[in-house]
Amino acid sequence: MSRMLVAVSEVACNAFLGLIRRNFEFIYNPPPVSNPPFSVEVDIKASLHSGEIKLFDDGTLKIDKLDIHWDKLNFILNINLDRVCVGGWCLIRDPFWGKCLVRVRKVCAFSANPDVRIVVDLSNFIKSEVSARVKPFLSHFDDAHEWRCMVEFVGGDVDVFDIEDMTANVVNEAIHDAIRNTIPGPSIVRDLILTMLGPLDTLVCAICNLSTPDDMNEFIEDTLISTFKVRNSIIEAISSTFAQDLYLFRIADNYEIIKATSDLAPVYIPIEDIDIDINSHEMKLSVIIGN
Amino acid sequence: MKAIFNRRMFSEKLITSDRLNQLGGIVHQFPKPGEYTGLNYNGKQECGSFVLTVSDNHKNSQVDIDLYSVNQQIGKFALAVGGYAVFYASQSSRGFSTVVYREAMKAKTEDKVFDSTSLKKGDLFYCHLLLPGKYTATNKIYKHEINILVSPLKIKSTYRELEPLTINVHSGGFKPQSAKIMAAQGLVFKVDTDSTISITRND
Repeated sequence: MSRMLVAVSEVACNAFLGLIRRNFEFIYNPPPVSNPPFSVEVDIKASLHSGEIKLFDDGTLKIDKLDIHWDKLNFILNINLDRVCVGGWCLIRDPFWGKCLVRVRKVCAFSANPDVRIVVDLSNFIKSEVSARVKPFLSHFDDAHEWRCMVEFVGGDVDVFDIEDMTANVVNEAIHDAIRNTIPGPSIVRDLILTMLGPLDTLVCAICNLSTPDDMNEFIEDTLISTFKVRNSIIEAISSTFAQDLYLFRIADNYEIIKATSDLAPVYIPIEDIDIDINSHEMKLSVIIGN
Repeated sequence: MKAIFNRRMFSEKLITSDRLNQLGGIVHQFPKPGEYTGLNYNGKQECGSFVLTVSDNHKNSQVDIDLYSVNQQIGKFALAVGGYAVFYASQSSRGFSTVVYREAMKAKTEDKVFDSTSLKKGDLFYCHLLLPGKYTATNKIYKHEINILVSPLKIKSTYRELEPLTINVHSGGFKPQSAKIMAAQGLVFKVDTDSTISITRND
């Protein structure tokens, strides 16, 4: 029984990266989360770009710096403008106890639920990277008469979730525009309703429970990561990608070591077993050749 | 979803106690127990009815009766003795009114205890003047008038915090004789004599 050492090439690694990028799919539109007077939802589609493979002494590979390209990242707010109401005041009070005996009912300007739907595409405003740690192992596929270097998903991380500073302005402005567009003319009516609503910045802060409009970025990040668990969902999608039997490379179990020429037939060697050895410098295969 | 905007709320040019729209309402006290029947009108056309039971068995001091929504079916309401019925219309249409009789439906005229087209002493008529401008309120029975100036709303908090302004309606006229309020501030006419109050925007 002979043993042969083979180094895994960079080409194989890059091909593997390409496989991951092609097989990764992330389409995510979970049910809206209600938090009166608004509800929020997201509609997301993402793909992976670039990336590199790093080797580690513990026998794992890190697929690193995979850019998440947000093909669509719609951040959707549904707002109720139920504050634009008149009435509701006490008309007759108990003269002795002060309790309100008759209260005038409210008349409100808006009655849909929600009144305003704001869709902001944040795909150009959020930069993210994802990495995945995998452990390669060799497996023989009898039907295909080949060895395949499969990978087991060990863990992943969305490394960066960087929301550009200007995003807060973009979202705030979109909300302002949507509210303004909801209110019909003439201007005397529009002015009155806008005054009844109060400063739109204050209204937006009240709706989204922000201290200042600049906190909008934090609200978006919190909504994406904590409310909708986008980070976790992406890692799950990465894990699912590896569960699709992706392989790093494959080798025929009857390996053609010398190709046929016009004079000679090809030379095959039977591969009985393969061990994989990874350290931070290289990935080597120890191929055991049968008789 | 597109907002459903209550356009009528901002386009009503006339608010009148004898034809209620969504910007006004009438409060009438029922001091005696009994079974009352109300016949409702949309414009001059009878459009619905309701039964109001006033009894010591009931504790509520207020009952809201939407003359629009009892348009199609017989509404049933209950009220404590001495409680108040608030008649209003959630939709405007041609304007709603009601006549309330003691006991049986279509009772005789002498059984009439309340007619919203002709308010009596003790009744209240409230309204919301939303748009800034000059208004004139008229008691159509006595032809008395009062000018009301509605100034623009300056800040959001104003209209929530301002108490409604009360105007007394006497046989000699309105008191005070002119009024200034803020847009969306409440306005209440406290009726001390036969009245049909009508408010129009002049500009």
